[in-house]
Amino acid sequence: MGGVDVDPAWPSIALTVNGRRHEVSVPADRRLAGLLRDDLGLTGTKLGCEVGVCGTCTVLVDGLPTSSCLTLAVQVDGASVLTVEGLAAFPELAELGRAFVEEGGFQCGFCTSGQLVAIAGLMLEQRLSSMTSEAVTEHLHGNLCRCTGYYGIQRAIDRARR
Amino acid sequence: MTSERRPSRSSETTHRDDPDQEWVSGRRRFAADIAADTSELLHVAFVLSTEPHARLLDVDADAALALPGVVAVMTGADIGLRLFGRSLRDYPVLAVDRVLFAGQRVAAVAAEDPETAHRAARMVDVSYEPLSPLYDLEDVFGEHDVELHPGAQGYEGATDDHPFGNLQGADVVVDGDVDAAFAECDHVREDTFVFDRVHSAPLEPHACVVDARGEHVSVWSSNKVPNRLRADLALLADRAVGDIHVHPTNIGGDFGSKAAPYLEVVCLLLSERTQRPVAARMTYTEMLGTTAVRHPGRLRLRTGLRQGRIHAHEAEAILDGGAFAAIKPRATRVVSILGHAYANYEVCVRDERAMTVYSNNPPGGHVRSPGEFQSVFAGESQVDLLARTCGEDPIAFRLRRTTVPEVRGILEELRAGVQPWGGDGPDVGVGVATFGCRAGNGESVVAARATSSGVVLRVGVPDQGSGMYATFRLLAAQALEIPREAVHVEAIGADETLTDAGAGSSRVTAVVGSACIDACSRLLEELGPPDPDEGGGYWPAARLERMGTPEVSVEGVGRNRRGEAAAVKPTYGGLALQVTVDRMTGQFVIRRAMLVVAPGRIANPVGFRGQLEGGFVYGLSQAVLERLVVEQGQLVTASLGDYKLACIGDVPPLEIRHVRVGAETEGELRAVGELANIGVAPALANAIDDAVGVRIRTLPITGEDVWQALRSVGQEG
Repeated sequence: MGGVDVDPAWPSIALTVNGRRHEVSVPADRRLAGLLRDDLGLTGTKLGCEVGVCGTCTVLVDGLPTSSCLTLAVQVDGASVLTVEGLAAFPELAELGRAFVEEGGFQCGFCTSGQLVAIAGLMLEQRLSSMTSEAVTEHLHGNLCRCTGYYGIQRAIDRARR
Repeated sequence: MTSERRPSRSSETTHRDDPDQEWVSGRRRFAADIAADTSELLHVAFVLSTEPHARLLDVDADAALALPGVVAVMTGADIGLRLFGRSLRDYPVLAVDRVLFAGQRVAAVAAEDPETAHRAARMVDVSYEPLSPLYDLEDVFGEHDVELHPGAQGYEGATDDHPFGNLQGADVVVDGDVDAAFAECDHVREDTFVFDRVHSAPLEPHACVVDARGEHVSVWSSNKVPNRLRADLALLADRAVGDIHVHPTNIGGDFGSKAAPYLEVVCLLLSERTQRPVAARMTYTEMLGTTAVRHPGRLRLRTGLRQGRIHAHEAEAILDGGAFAAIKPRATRVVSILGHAYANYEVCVRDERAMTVYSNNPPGGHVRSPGEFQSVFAGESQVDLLARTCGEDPIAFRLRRTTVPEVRGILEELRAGVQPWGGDGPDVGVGVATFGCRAGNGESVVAARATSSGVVLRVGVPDQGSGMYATFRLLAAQALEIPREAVHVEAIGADETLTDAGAGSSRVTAVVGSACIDACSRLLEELGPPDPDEGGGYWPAARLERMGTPEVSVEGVGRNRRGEAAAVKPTYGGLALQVTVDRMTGQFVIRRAMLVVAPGRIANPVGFRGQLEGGFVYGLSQAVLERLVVEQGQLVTASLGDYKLACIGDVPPLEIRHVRVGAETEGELRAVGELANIGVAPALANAIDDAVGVRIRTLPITGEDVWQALRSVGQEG
């Protein structure tokens, strides 16, 4: 999607998304979520509340869960970003996806990308299995789900921890 | 510019190849995702009224139009008064001469990118002449000469019975002389329950893409009733119904929110004008301020016992319907608030009345169990109060008075289940509530086609987020004795060839599911009885080859009409909660919960459990956390930062048990989507009373309310 030349600054940035390097020129006020969705076509990252509360836009920036709705694209210059589309490259995450399906970890699926990315961040750093369940729960306070009541998500995480 | 018509995106992802993986790979696409890769797209941002009640003097868009990247601005003056509404057309697509709530859409800006559209929308200069507002029920029934809808009689759908100008609608259920019945009672109690505004709050904001270049119009929308959306678009944009193609689109949660054409009409008109595809996506502030809120109001219950039996019951509900009635589907313009209090008990005489009034607040709509949430809170709270007055155990009191075998079984299971909870320290209490859920009225047709590679079910209903397509696949696999993987669900969007009432009212599993089963039995009539030994699991392949035909096509019908003998039976449930209350602060903690249900046939165990668990937490969130604050007509809790939804850390341990009452219920599909949420508030109020002896009659229930109640009786810590 093209922007409009109202801002004199259209900085060029370089970043790695799901292992692939991109060099793009974006409006200075474009957010990371907009960059991913509109410029790179990675629509698995969803926009919900846009104030960093609901977690549907969660991506990993250099391994850390990040609200892409509150992050400017220029802030990730030089960073490595992992979105839900990139999770398939990690075989160790396959069980998490299966568990979400089989345990009822989603209904409408709108929050699912953010949930998976937030949990995957722990798994990829090999922290999930050593964390207490209370600590895992706290880690997910910022990923809201309006459909499942979270019980299916908890069951899926319990399976992934094993 | 390309004239190429975009393919139906959703049909690319309608569970045809790997339905399960789609959900966890980021490939499941919603309306805003269609926008993200549509070329030549314009983005629309709306100008919302800042005034709760005002005459619209002028809309000056010159500055906005001068902003580079802005392509068009549309105002109410441009398009004239175009009214939408489900049972009453009273809601203008864009305001023309007056605004009736802060948040009402006044103008729309189309620009090359969303940032520019929103920037330009803020530059549209709207001049208002403020008028006297009606902010709450006290205002509406006070001294004033404000008539919010002086032309109400002229609205399509208006009824003759219109006693005063600010009445949206009225509803009555009377089956006897309640005054005479009260005169015969030996014990009468009256309680008034008050409930605040909460929001449906699906996580996906409303969104759409409309492409009206050329003769045909393509629409992708988060709207859950594609057939009505198409009819509305045709009517309001002066197009032939057949010109409009509403593509099937996944919906990211609904809960009653996504049934009105808030965005689509204006997007269609802007697409016509600009000859570009046009997209709109609400901000979450727009969601909270302009889409379905649960009606706030009050419900007075007066109930009399005669020789221990519930002899007389009177209910009077007064609800704030907000600025427009349009988003309510019922002809009464009153949500389903009558008949649910005491529904599970034998009551000799009932007299229940409800009214909804207009105000200058956001319009009230259908939020999951639109009136049941409030009335079951009131009813099951008062049942408990009656039990305590009579010195009876609340479960025993209910058991003696219920006429429903399922409820009896549920109460006995609850009694056994909570028994080990007892005697668990000071200021700990247990509360219970019983409730029921009926499938809504509606009819749906499902087309089924058996081919050599599988069975395709074509459905009109969109998946609004309950996972219903997985249920349809399971139902067909069971009916045809074929592997689930051989069943594909194909969503078709709006289509005159397949009747469908859309998603909502807990009707989909019972009505569309029955249509799937009916279609499968018709397939069996054509194909002959199943033979799983034939064709290695998917037996119809070999059968079709023997029949010398490539495929067999049939249609199945499902319907529900409440009150008829063949109507879908209610699902019943009961909930017990254990709470601990801190007398120092009034804060309470729900330590555990037990939900007991009497289900009919469970078609999809994962989906069924998900509806119960999700319903429970939805009810919990609305009972204790959520409050959409609107002060002087202005939305205060304007983001999910201020409007708190339950998170994973807020949910208590939940045990779910099933009871079966009679083998005849095993085969029936029933409704479950609006069951569990309605029991939480009364069970909690009853548990708090059990713990510390104070009664909360307001929603949401907060620690501050409990502390104030404790303080008022000198029992605070």
